[in-house]
Amino acid sequence: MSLLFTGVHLVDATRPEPRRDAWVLVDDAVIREVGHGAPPRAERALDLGGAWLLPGLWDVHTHLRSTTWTGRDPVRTLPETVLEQGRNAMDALEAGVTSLRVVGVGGWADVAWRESFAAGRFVGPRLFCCGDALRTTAGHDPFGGARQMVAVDGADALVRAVREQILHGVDQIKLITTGGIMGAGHDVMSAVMFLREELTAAIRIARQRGLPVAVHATAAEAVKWAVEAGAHSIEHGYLLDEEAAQLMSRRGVYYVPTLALSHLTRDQARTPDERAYCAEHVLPDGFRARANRFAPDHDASFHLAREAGVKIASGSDQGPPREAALLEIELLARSGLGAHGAIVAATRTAAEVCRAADRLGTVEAGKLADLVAVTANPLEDIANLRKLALVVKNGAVVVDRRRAPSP
Amino acid sequence: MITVLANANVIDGVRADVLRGASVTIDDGRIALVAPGGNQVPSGARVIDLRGAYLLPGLWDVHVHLEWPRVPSATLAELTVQYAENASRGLVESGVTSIRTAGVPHFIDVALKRAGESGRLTVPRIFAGGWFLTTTAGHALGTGFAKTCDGPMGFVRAIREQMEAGVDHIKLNLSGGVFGPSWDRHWHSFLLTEELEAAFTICRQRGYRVMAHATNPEAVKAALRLGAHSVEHGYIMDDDCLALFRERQAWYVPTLGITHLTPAQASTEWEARWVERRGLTADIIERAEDAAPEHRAWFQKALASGVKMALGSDLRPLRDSANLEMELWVKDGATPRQAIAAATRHAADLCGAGDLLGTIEAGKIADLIAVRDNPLEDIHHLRSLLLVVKDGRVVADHRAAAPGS
Repeated sequence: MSLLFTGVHLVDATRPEPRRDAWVLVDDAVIREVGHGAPPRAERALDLGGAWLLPGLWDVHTHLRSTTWTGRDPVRTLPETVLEQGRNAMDALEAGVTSLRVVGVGGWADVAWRESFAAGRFVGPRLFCCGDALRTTAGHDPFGGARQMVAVDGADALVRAVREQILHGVDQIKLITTGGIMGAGHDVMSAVMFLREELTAAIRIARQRGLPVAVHATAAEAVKWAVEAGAHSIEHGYLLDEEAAQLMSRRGVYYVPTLALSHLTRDQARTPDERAYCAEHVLPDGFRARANRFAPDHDASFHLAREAGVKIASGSDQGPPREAALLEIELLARSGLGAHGAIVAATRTAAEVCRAADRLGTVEAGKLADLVAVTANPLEDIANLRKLALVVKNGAVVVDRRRAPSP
Repeated sequence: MITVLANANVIDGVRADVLRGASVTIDDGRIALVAPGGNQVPSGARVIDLRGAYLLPGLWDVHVHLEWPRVPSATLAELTVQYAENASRGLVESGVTSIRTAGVPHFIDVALKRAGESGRLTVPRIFAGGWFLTTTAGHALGTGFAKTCDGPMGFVRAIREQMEAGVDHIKLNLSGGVFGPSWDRHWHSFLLTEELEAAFTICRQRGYRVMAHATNPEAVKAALRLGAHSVEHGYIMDDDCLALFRERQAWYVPTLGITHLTPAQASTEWEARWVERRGLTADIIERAEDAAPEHRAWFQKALASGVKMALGSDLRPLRDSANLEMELWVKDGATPRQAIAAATRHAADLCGAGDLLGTIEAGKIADLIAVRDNPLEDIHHLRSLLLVVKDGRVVADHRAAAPGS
């Protein structure tokens, strides 16, 4: 079926200037043509009355959590956790997030939901899955010793663990090589927790099998090791130095800074949405103190990466993704990318991180029709992304808020 | 929010006649008013004109396993997602608003129940039983939902684990079945007397109902004497069984589909399609067909003799289950009204929810379905589903897709 969107201002994520009074013709799942002036015929036409049309939004660093890092999660069975994660993904689509990269959930819940959403059995976003996030014993642990993450020690064991992820159908491999903000005690960011041969072995087998590797690395040394070993993306990178930034840039490694992790505290919250989030999703004091302490370093690292020309993608590492994805985009805009740069980070570059840029991430003929329409210009105020009118996934309208819902 | 379902022919599950041209007012998830003729519509109410469609209580299936499809290599996460899909489709596509589970692995049923109750997932109301408890060399061992227990304490411990995980009742397997290997036949009883007594004792002591799989006279009587709340299957019984059912006021859930749905017995397009998709092996078909005449006879005797009976299918997927089983009840001699009562009012009573669910009466929770044609004339008319309402919320609206509506 052909579906025509008329009366739109297009922010297609390929150029900074919007294309005004445009139309977009979708045929089944694919964008057939984009233009302005007299629109072509279509079986169904939707006049969006001056709405702003963008590529569907992405969050490339999510764990499908329901809230922020609380130190200890409620005790649940795996099925309960799986259902909660699926719901959180479905809620994200309702907010205009049409794709997520899931960088660590247990039991391959991400793969199970990816298939369900892809087949249309439940309506949810596209998922790009990492399966288990692999770490070492005494590695990063945001759960206070609850052993909710897989720990693997030794190069051989890591090769086997990577193969096990591949067997279960993941799209990428996620390695956690240092501590993080949401950790305590031994969980420091300065030390590299993987042995060099462990890191090299894990990345080598992943690359040999054609899977990109996302590496949680905070300290500059860890980032350099990861990049040298062949990482596809660096997650967090709170403590970059010039050399690490240059190396990432030179090797074309993506940077997913997860600004939300250090900036979303009640002490730093600046916008009403940030304040509301921090009031509802409360960090334990220890985590909050670490976030506040590392935020300036994080900002400095982010600027180093930008200066060096590193490609930056939007990933929140916060939950729930329906809120976190937008908060991260807003933080990226405010921290120096500007509105258009933040949109690109959450669309085109995000699709590149997921190796899906050939079919997703921009509004161009030939791409799959994952789109959002908002009622006000997001280039003037990035918070206008919240004024959602329409969400289209794979050519189908999945959310339509153009009229107030009937009672 | 107030919703009025107007111009409905109401089969309320209480009175004998159809309440024609009535309207049902729903306020905050509950039925506020059932009024003959058009009642005053409160201002701001949402009015849904049913145009003479038949409004019934939502359907129940009190013998459900949720597995569909059965994939041996599936991860627990995949099973969870598949079960969620199955449950959701049963509600949306067939109007099954409540189920009682009869054996589900890893407490996926408890997880789905909680997700449904918190409003996070649109699934039927679930009365959860967790694992199917049997013995080593017991029944349903190849299904993935059976947990084997041996010795009285083996059963007690497993039952306590079920309670801790949040089940509503305990599913206990006393005897063999139609589906199974050669040493698992429905005339075999599995548990030692002391195992049975221990299992029933801990359930009684903790106030949990036992849902007893019992398929031969010895097992049925043992279950009833020890205090089973419901007996499932009862393929072979005797007159003493029926007397005991009545004496103990226990429930009988016949699961006709297990013996009746074979290629030779299928007599409707829906039965034929289901049988074809199910792809039963020749030996199971033979076992089912051998068991069917006696099963039918005891179903008919139980129905005629006033045994309390509710509708449970043991069929999958959920979207086919209740409809097929109700149709088989009618095929075996029940009236459509009896089949509908078994799948609504009696099912709710069986689950201990009869004060809140199962009929269309003021004060009850608004779990409702609307069908285009009169199911009292032909039970297959339940398939002309137009609307599904759960907790007062329209969870499925098929009116645009339904021909002739």
